[in-house]
Amino acid sequence: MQRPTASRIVPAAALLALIALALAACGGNSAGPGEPRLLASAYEATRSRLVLIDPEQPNGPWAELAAIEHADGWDVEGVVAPSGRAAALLALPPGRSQPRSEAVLWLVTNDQRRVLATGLDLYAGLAFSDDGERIAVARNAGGQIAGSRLEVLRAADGAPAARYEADEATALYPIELRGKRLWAAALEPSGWALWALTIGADGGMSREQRWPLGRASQRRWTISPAGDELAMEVREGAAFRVAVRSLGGGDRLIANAAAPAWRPDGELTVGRWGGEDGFTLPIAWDAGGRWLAVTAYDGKGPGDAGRARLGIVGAKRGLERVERADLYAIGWWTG
Amino acid sequence: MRRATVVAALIVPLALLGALLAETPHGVSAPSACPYSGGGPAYLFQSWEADRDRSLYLDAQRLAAANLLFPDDEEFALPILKVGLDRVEDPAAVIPAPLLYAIGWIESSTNQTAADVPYGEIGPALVSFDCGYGIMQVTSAIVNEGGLPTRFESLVGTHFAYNIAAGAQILAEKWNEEFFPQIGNADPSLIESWYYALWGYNGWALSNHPAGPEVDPFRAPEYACDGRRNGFPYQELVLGCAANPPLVDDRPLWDAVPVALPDLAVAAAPGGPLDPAHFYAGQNALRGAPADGAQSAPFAAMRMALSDFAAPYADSPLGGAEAQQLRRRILGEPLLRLDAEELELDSGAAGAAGASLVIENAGSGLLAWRVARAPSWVQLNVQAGVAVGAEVSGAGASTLVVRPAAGGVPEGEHIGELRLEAMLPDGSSVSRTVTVSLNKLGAAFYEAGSPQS
Repeated sequence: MQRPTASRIVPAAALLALIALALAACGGNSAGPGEPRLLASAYEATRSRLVLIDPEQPNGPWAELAAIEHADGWDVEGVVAPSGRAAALLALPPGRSQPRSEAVLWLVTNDQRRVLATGLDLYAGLAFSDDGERIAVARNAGGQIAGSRLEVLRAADGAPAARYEADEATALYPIELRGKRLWAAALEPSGWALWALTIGADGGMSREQRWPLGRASQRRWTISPAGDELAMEVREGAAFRVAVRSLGGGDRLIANAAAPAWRPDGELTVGRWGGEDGFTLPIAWDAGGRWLAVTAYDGKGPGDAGRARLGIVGAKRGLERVERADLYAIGWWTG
Repeated sequence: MRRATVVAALIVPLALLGALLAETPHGVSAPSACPYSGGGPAYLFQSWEADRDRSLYLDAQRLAAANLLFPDDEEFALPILKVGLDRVEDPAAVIPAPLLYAIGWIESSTNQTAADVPYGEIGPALVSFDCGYGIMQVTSAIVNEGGLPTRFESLVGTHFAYNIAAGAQILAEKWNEEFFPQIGNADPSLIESWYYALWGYNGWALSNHPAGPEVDPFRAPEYACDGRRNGFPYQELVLGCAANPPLVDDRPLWDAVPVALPDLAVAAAPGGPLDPAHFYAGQNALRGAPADGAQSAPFAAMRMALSDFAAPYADSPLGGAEAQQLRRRILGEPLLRLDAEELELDSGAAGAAGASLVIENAGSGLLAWRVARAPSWVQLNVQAGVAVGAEVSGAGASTLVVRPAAGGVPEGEHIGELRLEAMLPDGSSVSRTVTVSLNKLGAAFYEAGSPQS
C-alpha cells in the first residue's frame, strides 16, 4: 500500500496565474502536429460531429475528425486514449434508461471509425487502459433493477478481454484502468463504494479492495495520477463539495466546489463559484498540463448556473469561451 | 429539422423513378431483430406523414389526452385515471395535453414515418433500430415474433392516431401505477403532478434521478425542446419541452405551458424526497435486500409536496360537438377497395417480381389495413399499412407486393388465401379475401437462395 501524498488544490479561478507562470518558463505555441487539440462533439439531432479545437484559436476554424450518426435526439459521450490518438465514444439515448435502447460503442482514430460493441445495457462510463489497448465499459441498463457488470474490451476489435458480474451493485461506473487494475464506482445497498478489481490471466476479475464512499449523491470520480487518491463531486441538496479520499486512509473535503480534475503533475483542480463574472468548472487537462478544458458559466453557481459554453484556459489567452453552444468536450487529441 | 425540402426540380425525376420501381416510393427498412421485444424482426409497416405543422397530430394528442379519440375501443381507450391520495377512479380526469405534445417531440420529433418520407406521403413507418414504433415510440404490447401483426400492433405502427392513443395509455398506466410515489394530492390536472409518471414512462432508473450521477447538476433550469439532451433526466426533458415548445417555421408548435420543477436545493437535500438515498433504498427493497416491510410502496419516501407555483393546466374545454368534429377530421370515414380478387404467382424467374395488390381508400381519412392471414409460400413487402382518402393531401393507395417464397413446397399448382382486414375508426373491421395461386416450377427454375423441396 502506498502512503498518501499531499496534493495541492487549485481552484479554477486561480489557474490563470499558475499557467501563466508555467508557460512563461516553457513558452506557449500554437497547435501543430502532435500538439494537443480539444476533441469535442458538436450536437446535431441525428448525428454528432467530432471536431478538433485548437486551444490557440478556440473559435475556429475547427478540423473535423469524424461524425457519429445516431437516432434523433441521442448524444455521444466518450474518452480519449492516453496516447491522444484514439477515442471511445458511446452513442446513447436521452434518459439512457429505456431497456430497449441499444447503445453503440465506437472507436475513432484519425483514419477509421468503427463499432466496437452494441448493447441494450451498454451504459454510461468508459475508461481507456493506460496502454490504450483496452476499454472498460459498464453494462447496467441504466441503473435499473438488474444485474450489473463491467467488461474490458480490446480496442483493436471489441473482443471481450475481461468481465465482472456484480449482483451486489445496481450500478457500476468504470473510473480508471491501469495495467491489471480497474477502479470502479459501485452503487451498493449500503451506498456508494470505490472498488479496485484485478484482472486475472483468464479474463476473470476479482474485487481486491473496497472503500465506502457514503450515500450522498456523487459523480465525477477520478483517480490521481499517482493512483493513490480518489477525488469526486458530492452533492447534498444545494451543497456541493469535492471529496478527496486517500486510498491509504484519510479524507479531505473542499466545500463549495465541484468538478475535480487532476493535472498530470498531481495537482487537483476544482471549480468554485461566488464571483460576479460567472464561474468555470474544469473538465480535463491536456497531457502536458498546459491547457485546461472547462465549462464556463455566466451565472452565479449551482441552481443559477446560467448559460454554459465550452472554454479553454491557457496562459496567454486566459479563459477563452467557444461561442458555439451544444459542444461537449471529450478529451485532448494529439493524433 | 429532419426532412429535406423537396426541390421542385426533383419531383418529376423522383416520380419517374418511383414509377419505374413499381412498388412503394420508399423501401421499407426496419430492424432485423428486436431481441427484447419478441426476438423476431420488426414488423413491416407503412404509414403516412401529415403536414410539417403537425396540427393533425397535436389535435389527436389533445383528444387522446381527454380520452376522446377512441373512448369505446377496448384496445385504445385511455385507462380511467386514479385521482387523489385515496386513488379513486375519476372518469372526468384527463392528461394535460402538453405532456403528450412534448413526449411526441422528445421521442420522435413528432414523426410517424421514417425520416426520408416527405410530408403528406406514405412510406415506411418510423421504427427505431431498437423497435420503438411511430410518434410515441411505442414498444409496450408489441411482440415482434416474426409472424403477422395483430390489430393492436398494426394500428400502432401504421396510424398516427392509434399510435398517439397507445402512448397516452402508457403514460396513464404509469400515473395509475401504485408503485410510483405520489406528488401533492395526486391531482392530474397539475402538470407538475406527472413528474414521477414521466420518469416511469422512460424507465424508473437511476439515470433519470434528478440528483443522480448521470444528471448534470449545473444544467439549465429548463430544457428547451431542440437543445442537447445530455445531462437532463427524461421527465425534465418532457416538462421543459412542454414549457419551451419547438419552433417549426419560426412558430411554436404549441402554446408554452409554465412548469415548476422541484427545487432540488431542498428536495434533493438529505432526507428530502429526491435525496438519492431514498431511491437507492427503494431499489434495494425491490432487489430483496434488507426487507423493511415496505415492498408494496418501496419508494414512499419520495412522496413530494407540490410546488407553490403549480397551477392546474387549463385547456380550452372541448365540447362534445367540437370533439366529434375534430375526431372526424382526424379519422375520417375510410372505405376499403381492392383492385383485384385474385393474384397469380409463379416461381420462375419471370415471376420473381411477384404480383401487386392495390389497396385504396374510397372514403376519407386514413384506412388502416393489415394482412391477417397469408399462405406460407408468399413473401410480403408490407404487413400492414394505410391508404389515404382523396381529401387528404398527398392522397395515395397502398401497394401490397406478394412474391413467391416457395422453397419448401412441392412442384405444381397451389392455391391459398390472403386475408386483408381494414380496421375502421368505430372499432369494427372489414375483411376481404384475395385468392393467391402459385405455379411452382421445377428445380431448374427455383428462386435463388431458397431451399429446394
